[in-house]
Amino acid sequence: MSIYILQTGLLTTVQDRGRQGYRSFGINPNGVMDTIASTLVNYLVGNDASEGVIEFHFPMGEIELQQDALVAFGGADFGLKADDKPLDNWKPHYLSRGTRIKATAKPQGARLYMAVQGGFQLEKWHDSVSTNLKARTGGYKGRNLQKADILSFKSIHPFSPSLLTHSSHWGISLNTLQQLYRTDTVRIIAGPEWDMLTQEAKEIVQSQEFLISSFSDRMGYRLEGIALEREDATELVSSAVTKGTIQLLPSGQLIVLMADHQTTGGYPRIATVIGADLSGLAQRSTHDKIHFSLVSVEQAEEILLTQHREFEILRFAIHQKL
Amino acid sequence: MIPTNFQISPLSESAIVLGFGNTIDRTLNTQVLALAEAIQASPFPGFTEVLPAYSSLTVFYDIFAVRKAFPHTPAYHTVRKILLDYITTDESVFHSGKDMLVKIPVCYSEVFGWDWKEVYEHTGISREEVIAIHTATIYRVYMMGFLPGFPYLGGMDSRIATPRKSQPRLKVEAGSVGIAGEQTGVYPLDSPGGWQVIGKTPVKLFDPTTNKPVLLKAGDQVQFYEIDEDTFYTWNSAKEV
Repeated sequence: MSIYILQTGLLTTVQDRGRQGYRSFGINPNGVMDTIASTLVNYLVGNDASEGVIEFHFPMGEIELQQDALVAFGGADFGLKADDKPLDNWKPHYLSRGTRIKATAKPQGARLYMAVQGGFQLEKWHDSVSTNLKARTGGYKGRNLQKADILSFKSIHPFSPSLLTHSSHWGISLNTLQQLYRTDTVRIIAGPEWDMLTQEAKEIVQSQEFLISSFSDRMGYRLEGIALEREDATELVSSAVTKGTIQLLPSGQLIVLMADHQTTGGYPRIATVIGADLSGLAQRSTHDKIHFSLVSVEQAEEILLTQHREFEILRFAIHQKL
Repeated sequence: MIPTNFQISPLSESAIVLGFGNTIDRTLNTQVLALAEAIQASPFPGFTEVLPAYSSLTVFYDIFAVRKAFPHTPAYHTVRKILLDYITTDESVFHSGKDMLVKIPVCYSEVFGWDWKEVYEHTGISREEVIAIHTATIYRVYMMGFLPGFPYLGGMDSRIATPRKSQPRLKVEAGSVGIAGEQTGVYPLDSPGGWQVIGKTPVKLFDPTTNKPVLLKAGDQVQFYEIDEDTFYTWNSAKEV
């Protein structure tokens, strides 16, 4: 009842929706970069949205199932193959023991998620199985999965016979996914230090293109664009930041904090990416160009509630199938 | 009483920052911690956590839970109103500053204090005297952040202030005690860093294997005391600090 890592990938960790409640100790939530993908792959195998998943980056290495299992993949498209047969994302697949899974194509998107029915057998660290790489704790031994690691499943419920015959034949539609992962703009709300920007800088943020630089990882995305000017150059004392916080660096460039951000920071927090758009941003790769559009906090909340309702509808529909 | 001039703004759709100015001030920081305690003591529906900083308090909440309790109003408005109520409540509600004094042993030997030369070159004060100054001060933990278990300490004597290294080290070991400008601190984890390292503590500021993974919390007082190398090497980490 486990997965065997045949070949180490670039960065393969176990994550869930994050470890909440420990920021005041300096312990940040971590968790998946793309919550849309982690939620949907969990639903596809009958799990709760909060169950731990594996987050792969490219190259992903190779894994082998040591037991028959119901699994689902989603997020980036790595051209997955299971024993040389194409393995589609966004579908539940019942795969037999010994199946080997690897990527075979140039990725579209940045991160791939895998859920297994029942979830992974890991001891939680402070309520979560998310890996904290910096503190070397949580997830699988607090580190990325490497060759010869064995990641166990929790005990699984018996499968229904119909499931075995019907898996791989249905999944989440492209249309639904396109609605969830918008690609036109990344929506932001004004941050606590938005008004530190000059009027011109505020307009640049909303109208100009920003490039995701190669200095981008789970901690944050460094952007390249027109340097932004500040109304006042006062140094700030440190205060809270969160996933999606956009900080203005002394160079006038921006950084978007992602899942492995520090809990506090001292750069101006000019804006925050809305919760509903963080997953789409997490799938953007180095050298992609993005545009921001400003919405109100009330709108950001409505958009997140709408996304949540879509998840509920999908969960119900999947439940009928499973 | 919390100052009346404050800024209230969203950090995200599920967090609100209360900003009380851009200063490092003991009294203000005590009020921030008191407000954090008051909110934790009687949390509102959907409250998830607080993050007190030098002069700001950030309150995190679960918008789905807030909307469940108050369905007809945006969660941001609900929480904003609740926070304003906490602030305007009589100050007698706030109790804080249990003023816990945590004593941390430090071995200032040159084996661990790699940067004594630079500290001397900058301050002109001898190693013995810097140790005397560093251990005489009672520091305040203004906030926790940066790394798990990292305390932002305030109150260092400016005579021993030394700028950060021009070239940060790729790895500073957990427990290293350093000076950066007017700040002093302890690395809770192995980490890259540019602090001038003057010693090392055998005490763990962050230990994920225990129930209380973090030694310090905002509002604590910290005092360092000197130990020799033998004591350092034989330190029983289970020993009470």
